[in-house]
Amino acid sequence: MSSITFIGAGNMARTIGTRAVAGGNTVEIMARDQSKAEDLAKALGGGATTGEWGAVPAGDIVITALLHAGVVPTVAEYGDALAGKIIIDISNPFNATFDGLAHSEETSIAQEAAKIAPAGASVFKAFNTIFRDVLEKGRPDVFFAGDDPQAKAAVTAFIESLGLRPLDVGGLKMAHWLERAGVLTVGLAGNGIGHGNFAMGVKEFTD
Amino acid sequence: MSSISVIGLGGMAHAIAARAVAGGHSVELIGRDPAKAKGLAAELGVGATVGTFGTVPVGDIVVLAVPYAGAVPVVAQYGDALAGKVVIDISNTFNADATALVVPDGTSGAQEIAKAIPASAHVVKAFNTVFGHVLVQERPLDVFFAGDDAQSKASVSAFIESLGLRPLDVGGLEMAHWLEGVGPLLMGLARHGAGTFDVALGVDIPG
Repeated sequence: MSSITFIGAGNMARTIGTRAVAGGNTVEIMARDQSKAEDLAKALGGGATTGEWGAVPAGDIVITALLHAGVVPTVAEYGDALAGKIIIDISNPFNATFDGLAHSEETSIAQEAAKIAPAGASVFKAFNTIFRDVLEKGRPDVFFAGDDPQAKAAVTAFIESLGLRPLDVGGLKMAHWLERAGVLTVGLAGNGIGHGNFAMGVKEFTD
Repeated sequence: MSSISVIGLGGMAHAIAARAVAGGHSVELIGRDPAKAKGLAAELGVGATVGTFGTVPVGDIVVLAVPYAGAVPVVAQYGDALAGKVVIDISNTFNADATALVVPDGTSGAQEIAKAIPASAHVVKAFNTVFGHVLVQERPLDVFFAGDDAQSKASVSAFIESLGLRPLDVGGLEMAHWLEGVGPLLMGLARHGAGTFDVALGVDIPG
């Protein structure tokens, strides 16, 4: 199993963290507000610990469980503390009206984070196409994108340890298309499906 | 059942026409090559006829099944012959290696087509997230669609259902931009995580 650090102690950290503990992973929580980190670690149980904001994370995989605007500044703030880490960006950079993206469509939060991540760090995009409630209660497919093959194997194993199916969509530049898919899920929730209790997934036909 | 016209004689035209015939529709096949149109009509059998390229299509719903590069020129050539029609744009607007879109940010192929058709006609984006070779296999699949005109959307939704498929409304025509962004994502999934092009994107609604 893997050793995971969450930077952020919000709902997504709680949801993924709960599955991570259940999957036998070692979990560390880091938050600017140390008491929030401690509360979440306690709630997760399973030996979950806390780390100091900005220090070298204990986990080999670091999940930035932050709002999109916080991801790149936080990776910058951590700087060399993230050297050699696998960084998973789970954010959705929606605009204020949730019908578009907050940044230019030539890039993605994950790609911007990769530009400033320290040497040896490998940035991935994952989980952003899944509504939190579904991640908590369902068995959604987890689309992910990233470049480094070895890190990709580690991310795959981690997602599998959560009892979920990892689906590699390609290199990190595919993060751009995953972030776009986030907008589509909001469109589906607001229109044809009418609620957020669903997940995008893939069927493979082998028969 | 209704009368459908299909402009185009390629793989997607064939797949949609075959399902439409199976769904009890009468299908008019229209292409620049009348011999090829006749061949396809003969293959589809009872219910399939051949129309003349550039004249008023028989169907209230016109499936525009040509590559995006040809789509705007084709509707421009049709001009007023498409007055009052519901035009289903099925095109994918990605480049040759499916890494970028050929349509600029802020618009979509469907929106460009909408600009080029008569004011009394309405564009609905649909089917671009489904591979033709999968569509022809007669499986139940999810078909995402987007459009502005409520009546046109209702008839497209009913048409999709009549093909044994599940229509999923993602919103107004501006959502076509995000649907076209799914094209590269599906290609990435097929090439990487799924490892097969016998794959379909869909939605799992547990409730």
